[in-house]
Amino acid sequence: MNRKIKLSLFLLTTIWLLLILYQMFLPLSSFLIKSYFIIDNIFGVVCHQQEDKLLTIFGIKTMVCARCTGIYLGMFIGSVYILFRSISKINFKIFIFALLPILFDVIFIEVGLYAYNKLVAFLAGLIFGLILFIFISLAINSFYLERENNK
Amino acid sequence: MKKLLPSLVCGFAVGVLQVVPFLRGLSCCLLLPVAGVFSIVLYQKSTGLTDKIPFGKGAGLGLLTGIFAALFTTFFDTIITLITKTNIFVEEFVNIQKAFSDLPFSDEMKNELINMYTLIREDIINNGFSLWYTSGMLFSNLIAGILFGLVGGLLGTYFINAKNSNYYSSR
Repeated sequence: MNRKIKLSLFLLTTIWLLLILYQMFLPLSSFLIKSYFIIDNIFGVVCHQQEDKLLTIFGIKTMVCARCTGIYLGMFIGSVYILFRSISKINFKIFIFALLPILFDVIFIEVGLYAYNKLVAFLAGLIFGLILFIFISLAINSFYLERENNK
Repeated sequence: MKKLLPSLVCGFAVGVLQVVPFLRGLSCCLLLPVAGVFSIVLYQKSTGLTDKIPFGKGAGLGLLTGIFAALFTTFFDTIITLITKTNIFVEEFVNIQKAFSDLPFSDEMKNELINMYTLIREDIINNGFSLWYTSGMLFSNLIAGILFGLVGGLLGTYFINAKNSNYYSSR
C-alpha cells in the first residue's frame, strides 16, 4: 500500500479521534467554543449521543457513545497497524465475524437479556472498527491504483 | 437523471430515517456508509452491469448519496421545526444545559456555551426557525454526509467487485 495513503489515513483517524474528545480542547480558544455546535452536530448525524451512553474521560464526555468511540479507536489502531505492516488481502467472512459482537450486543439489549454496558459496547465497537478500517484502507488503495492506471 | 437516481433514493431514505423521531434512534454511524453501499447496489441493478464497477464511479455515487442525505435531512428538519416550533434540540435543551454545567471549566466558559444554545432555542420556539441552527445543521450534515457517504461508496464498490472471489485483495 502506498505510504502517502497510509499516512493520510493515520492523520485522518487521529484528527477524528481528537474531535471525539473536543470538550477537552474548549478552554484553548473562544473559537472552539463557538464551533462546538457544529462539531456536536457532525457527530450527532452519525451517533444518537445519548447522555448515559457517553464515555467520561477525566471529567470530559466523549462526543459519541461508547460503541462509536470503540469503532473510531479501533480504526485508529488499524491505521497505526498498517503504518508498519501491509495487508493486501482479507477474507470477507472476517468482516461478518467482526460485525457479530455489535449485532448480538444490540439484539441482547433490545430483548432484555442484559442492560446496556459501556465496556461491552466499547469492545464490540473496537473489534469492528479495526476490521472495518482494514477494508476501508484496501478500498481506498484500490481507488488510488485505479487512478494511477488511468493516468 | 438515471445516474443520479440511486444516490437520490438512498439519500432520501437517510433523510427520512434521520428526521422521523422513533426511527432516529436507529441512526448510527453505519447508516450513511450503508446508504453509500446501497447506492452502488442500486446502480448495478438499474444499469444491469455485471462488470467491475470503477472505484471512481463508486466514490462519486457514495459522495452524491451523502450530499443528498444532508440536503434531505436539513430540509425535512427545517420544515418540521417551522411547523411544530420545536425539535430534538429544544426537547433536549435541559439535558444539554446540565451536561454543560457538569463540565470542569470556568463559569464564564460554561455561560458562553449555554448562552449560544439558549439563543438558538429561543429563535426556534419564537419563530420556528434559527438561521444559526439551520446553517449549522446543513454544514454538519454535509461534512458527515460527504465523509461517510464516500467511505460507503468505496466499500460498496470494493465488496461488489470482489463478490465472486474467495478473498478480498488490493490487486
